[in-house]
Amino acid sequence: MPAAAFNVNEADRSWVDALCTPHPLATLTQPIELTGSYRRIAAMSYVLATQNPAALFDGFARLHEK
Amino acid sequence: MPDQTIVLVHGAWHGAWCYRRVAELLRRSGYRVYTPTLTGLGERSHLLSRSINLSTHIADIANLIRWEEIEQFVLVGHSYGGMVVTGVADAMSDRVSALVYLDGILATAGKRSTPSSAGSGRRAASKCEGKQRAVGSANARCGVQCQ
Repeated sequence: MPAAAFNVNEADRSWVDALCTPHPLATLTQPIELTGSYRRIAAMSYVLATQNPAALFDGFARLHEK
Repeated sequence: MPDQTIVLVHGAWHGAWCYRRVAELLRRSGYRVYTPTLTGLGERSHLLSRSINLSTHIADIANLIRWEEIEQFVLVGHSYGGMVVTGVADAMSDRVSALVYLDGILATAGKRSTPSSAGSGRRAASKCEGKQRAVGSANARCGVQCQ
């Protein structure tokens, strides 16, 4: 995906595109196995970048608030 | 609060390089910072293969923690890295002092990071084909292109 698709700031786009590499496909298709113990971690935060927002993450930030 | 250890996990298509600036800032503030590159990406892109899956990437980070003997750490995941840090945190929740999703994907048990079939990844890959950098043909067959 080109950096522009993720709304990377314009000054960094060509740098990001030059260093990105293909991503191993199976990492995106393997379902995650969880026991749920990570939910016991007291300090859990969501940082949503708003200066150059990528719409994909708005939904996750809202989900995290719940 | 310096003397803390922070582990920054990158997202899809990226590598340690994307955290270069933020790691420098954090180190100057006194934090111990690790920015591991997940298998098959960045400076480890020569290892790209079909066998690399989410478990591989979770093991990448879990092994870093084990062999660097990190007792307590702040775990940060960006984008796809959100899936990885959730898996790591689930496996060693007693060591994670804080879990941070930095524009990250939230994991749900039994779910994968892509909502549809692997085919969508391949479609996305072919869509970007015109712009992609020259990569080895073996890489092109098993990885989702980023540009």
